Amino acid sequence: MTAPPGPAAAEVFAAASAHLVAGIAERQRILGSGAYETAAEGAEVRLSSGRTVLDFGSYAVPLFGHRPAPVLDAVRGALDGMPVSTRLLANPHAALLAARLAALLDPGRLSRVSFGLNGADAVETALKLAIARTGRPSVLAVEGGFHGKSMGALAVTHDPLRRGPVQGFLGDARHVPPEPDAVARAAAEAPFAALIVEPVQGEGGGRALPPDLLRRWSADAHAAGALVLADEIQCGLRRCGPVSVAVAEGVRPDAVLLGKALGGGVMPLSAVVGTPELFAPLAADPYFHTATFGGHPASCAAGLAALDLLDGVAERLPAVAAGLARGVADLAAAHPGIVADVRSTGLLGAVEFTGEAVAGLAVLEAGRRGLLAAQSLSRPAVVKLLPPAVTSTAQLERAFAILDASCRSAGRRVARTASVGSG
Amino acid sequence: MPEASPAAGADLVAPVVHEMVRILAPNPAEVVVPDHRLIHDLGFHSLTLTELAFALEDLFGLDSVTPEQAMLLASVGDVVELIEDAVARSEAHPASPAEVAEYCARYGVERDPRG
Ligand SMILES: Cc1ncc(COP(=O)(O)O)c(C=O)c1O
Repeated sequence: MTAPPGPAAAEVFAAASAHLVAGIAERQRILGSGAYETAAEGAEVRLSSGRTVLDFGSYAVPLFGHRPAPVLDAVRGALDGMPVSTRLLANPHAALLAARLAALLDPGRLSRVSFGLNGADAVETALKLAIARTGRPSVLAVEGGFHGKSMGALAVTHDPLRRGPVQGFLGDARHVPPEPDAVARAAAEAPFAALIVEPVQGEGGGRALPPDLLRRWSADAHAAGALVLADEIQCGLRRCGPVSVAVAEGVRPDAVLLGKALGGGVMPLSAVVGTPELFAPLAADPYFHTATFGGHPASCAAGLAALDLLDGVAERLPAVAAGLARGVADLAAAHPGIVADVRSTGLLGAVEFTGEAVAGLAVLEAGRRGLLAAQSLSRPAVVKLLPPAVTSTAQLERAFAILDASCRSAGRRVARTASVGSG
Repeated sequence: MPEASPAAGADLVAPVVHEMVRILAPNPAEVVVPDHRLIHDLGFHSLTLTELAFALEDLFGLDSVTPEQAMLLASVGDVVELIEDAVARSEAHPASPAEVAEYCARYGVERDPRG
């Protein structure tokens, strides 16, 4: 894990504060204790100060650890050949990766693939295809669901704070509560093109929806002539166990959406893997949905190498998942005053604090002690723990020792604040 | 750890506090003076005050300062006084020059001898 010498930290943060989002730059400076990121390997990131921190954050991207060698080799191969595509000639990486995904997810059913870069690209594509296919300009999503922040994705993301400023421009989406008859009731009220659902809600607080609820919703959506889109951008590819949670649970989705780790933690890549029915609008008009960098060769090369790593994740998963489950349970027991609830599904752990402020403090305290973790985007009282599958037992123990100390310190600050406030 | 005499330790507080304030202030001042107000003159706010609290806790071995406590500190001189009192009561220790130098290096700045 080495990096060439970089610019002075002061210069980096001055530039970031002046020209990027200042509020994010400030947080990054605290989390890095004044330093910025320079290199990474496995579950660890090296800072410009020479310090090394554990990475249980990174928006869930480095599932295979940072810089997995086979992915780096595949990307180097693409760089040496043809890293961008003409788009006018066939690109072998995209074609072969599409075939691999079709064979992997739900063979024979989910046979068509569309590639994007960010997760939101996949969400936009899937919604657009579903609306075009059904002719119904309306969709259902779920309370607590997160699907991204571009306009179409934001329309289905359940986050009043982020939707508010652009509300009038967002498409027609209804958010249903996690109740068995919610989709049937919505269908009785008005037709919809698709139900988009995360089988395990990530940014909504790391919450797994019950499989029987998902199956009932899927059946009710299909009965209403609508399609089912499983957003597994965060929970899929074995983060939460199966390659596709929805397929494994018998939900019979019309598409599974993948992203984040799909590019091997090295390249940006997302995909919609769906039925020929969902993709029918592209059979009618091949140029109905295109984007300059869709099917980027270097990204698809990374994706092909990443899929080869999934068996390794399956092998490591039980041990890391068990350590994660134990760790969050111990945290809850040790800090009852500030930890309200904990849960974990595979390699997605969640610590729900009693409030957003104490969760924010805990994240800052953890960063300065050497562990990166983030608050859930639409449920900021919840801190998500996303260990890479390659996390060792010693690293997991170090992470929870840091979290324990961070909770103690955050709790003291909150207690003192309370007494200052009342005194 | 050897007991530092409170008076000797307290002498060393101001230059270190001034240095950290200079590094962390959103609206940096060329030279930091005791009368500089953290929020009004130097642009500190909740998040950056938390960062300042972290730095001072690390360097002086202070117990957790709450962001709200930090908010009550109007000026740089108030911060110096808080830490000098804590050092005098043995609730904090003087900052070691090596640690201060390491902190400055992390943030990618030279230690300013003017404090
Ligand atoms: C479930 C889910 N869907 C969609 C997205 C959006 O992905 P991106 O930020 O790559 O656009 C995210 C990102 O966190 C996500 O967790």
